[in-house]
Amino acid sequence: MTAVDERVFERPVSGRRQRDAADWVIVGTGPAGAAVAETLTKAGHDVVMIEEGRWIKKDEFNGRAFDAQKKAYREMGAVAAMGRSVMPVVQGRCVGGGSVINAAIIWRLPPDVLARWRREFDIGDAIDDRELAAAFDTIEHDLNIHPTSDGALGRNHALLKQGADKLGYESRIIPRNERGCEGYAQCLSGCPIGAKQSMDLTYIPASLARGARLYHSAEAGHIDVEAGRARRVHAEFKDPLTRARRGRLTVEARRGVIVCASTVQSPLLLWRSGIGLGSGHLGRHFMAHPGASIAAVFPEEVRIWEGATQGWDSEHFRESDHIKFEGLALPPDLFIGRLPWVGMDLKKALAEYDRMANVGCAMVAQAEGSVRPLGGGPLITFTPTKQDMINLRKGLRILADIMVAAGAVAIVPDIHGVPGRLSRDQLGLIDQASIDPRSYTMAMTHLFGTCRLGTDPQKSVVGPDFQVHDTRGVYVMDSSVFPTNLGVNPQHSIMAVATIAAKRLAG
Amino acid sequence: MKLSSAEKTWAEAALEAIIPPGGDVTPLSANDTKSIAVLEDMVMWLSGMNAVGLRAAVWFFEFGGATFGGVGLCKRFSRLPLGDREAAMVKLNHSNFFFFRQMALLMKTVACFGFGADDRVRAALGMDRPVKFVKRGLSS
Repeated sequence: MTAVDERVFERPVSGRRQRDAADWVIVGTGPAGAAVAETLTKAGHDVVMIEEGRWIKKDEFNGRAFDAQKKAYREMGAVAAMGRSVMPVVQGRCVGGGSVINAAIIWRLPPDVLARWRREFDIGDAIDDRELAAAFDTIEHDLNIHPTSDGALGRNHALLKQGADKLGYESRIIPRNERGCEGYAQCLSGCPIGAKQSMDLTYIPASLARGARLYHSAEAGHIDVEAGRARRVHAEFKDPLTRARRGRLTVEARRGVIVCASTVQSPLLLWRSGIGLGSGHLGRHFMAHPGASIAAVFPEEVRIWEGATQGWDSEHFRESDHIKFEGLALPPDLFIGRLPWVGMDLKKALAEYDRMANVGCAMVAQAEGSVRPLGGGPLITFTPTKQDMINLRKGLRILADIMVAAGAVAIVPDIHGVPGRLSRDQLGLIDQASIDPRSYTMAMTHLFGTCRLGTDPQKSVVGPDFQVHDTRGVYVMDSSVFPTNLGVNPQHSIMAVATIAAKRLAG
Repeated sequence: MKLSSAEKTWAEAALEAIIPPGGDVTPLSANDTKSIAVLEDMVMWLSGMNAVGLRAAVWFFEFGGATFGGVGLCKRFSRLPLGDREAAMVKLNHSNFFFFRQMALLMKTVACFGFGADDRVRAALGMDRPVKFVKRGLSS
């Protein structure tokens, strides 16, 4: 056992109760929590991390999607937002959080988004341009961020580039946090070769090496507040899968509690603790990037199971139509289920499997939903607006055009009311498709907004110092503080903003 | 919560209708690739309402044939010949009722988790490069 191992606990050291104390208690070990731990431990602070999921150890990602979902996803990926449609909400629940199961995409916060936050949401001096740029630089160095290599790009993404080029749409290679990616298209199932520089392989071990302690498989239940100040966090050790209880954990927070538990879980923890309720905005303004995909059939081999899960994208329509395109290479256990057929029709489609490509359209949705406590868990509500759906339908049509420009002989759109397979001259049927969200198979990633940042305590939950307006010593530093969605994959922005916020605490 | 042996039989009848045996690429069905194990895991380990909902879906398939397949399907689903089950599943998949389509999607997702993860299926699809797995994370 190494010195680092000795600081990692999944149950009480003895008996049924574990106690600890630290300068800072961080709840959540995803990109936000890990960046905070990295920053504070580097500055010499004493840190305890509490994580609801478990540390997924050697050899545990085996290239099987469901196995990964069982180990690393909240509710095995079965969390859903309710609204006019039912939309899966994808969230990691393991040490490293979303960084373990995302596609390792790294984009800086778009300047127009930050400008809008300053203009419309009065975020004060929360995010300074120079500090932000410095944080981005550091993270890019630490996580070995570089453009997807040719060897890991894969033909699926090359086709997106080819089609976009032919139609004159701007597109670009995706920078990723990886070291030695071999392009197994397995990012969403946990990198099987440990190439993805997720938090469990980078900032968390580094923080542990500097003296931090990690309590995983420990669900934070309540933050105690005394005399208007956060004093301690209570958690319960539980097997994340079986929910078997293993004991209790109490950590005294000498300086404060930093909540980085996600856009869904952070407001719930505050709610349970009676914190942040004053403005009436806690749990509101839930935003996301819902999306749908289309498949395309080519005359030659594509081999969708090869290449980075995501290696090429196009932001050409982000500002004008609030949509973004991405290549999405998937293994068969995820991709076959996305084809629109069942029975022998589905099996017949497999004859073209090696010639199929898959591309996704993510909406920068304008809709706002909410997160509320219901029983022991969250009730997430979200319905895309009519304009969001018009944008999505337009995006899917443009994607079909891009694929045809790249040489596709057929498009497989998966929209109810539209034939499962469209020839090149039938693409107009997509334009006539319903804009009812129930007609599309969508999933939702990248969640924001439920603990909104702002200077006005009547309109926001946390202030420009990331401290909850109504309670001293409780900070929120994850994407729940972002006033809007971003239009790009958020890991980099989440880490950079958390780094800035933590640096101010570090002094 | 565990699926009973009867519920497993009912679920397998539905999974087989999603991915039946036969076909040019691979003769394997969802049942040959143990998709039922995925469903059992989900019912066993999902939290309260999600597990109950999944279990209810299994009952829906077994006893709800008349609602989605018409009067001709008022028999129990698992007692129908495969061709009839498949035809009913196609109808469900294209239904104008969102709930029915969601039922088909749910079962298809479960079926494909098992089917698409099977090495024999992957080889038949042309996946000829095995993943080189390496150790990751802590030493313990």
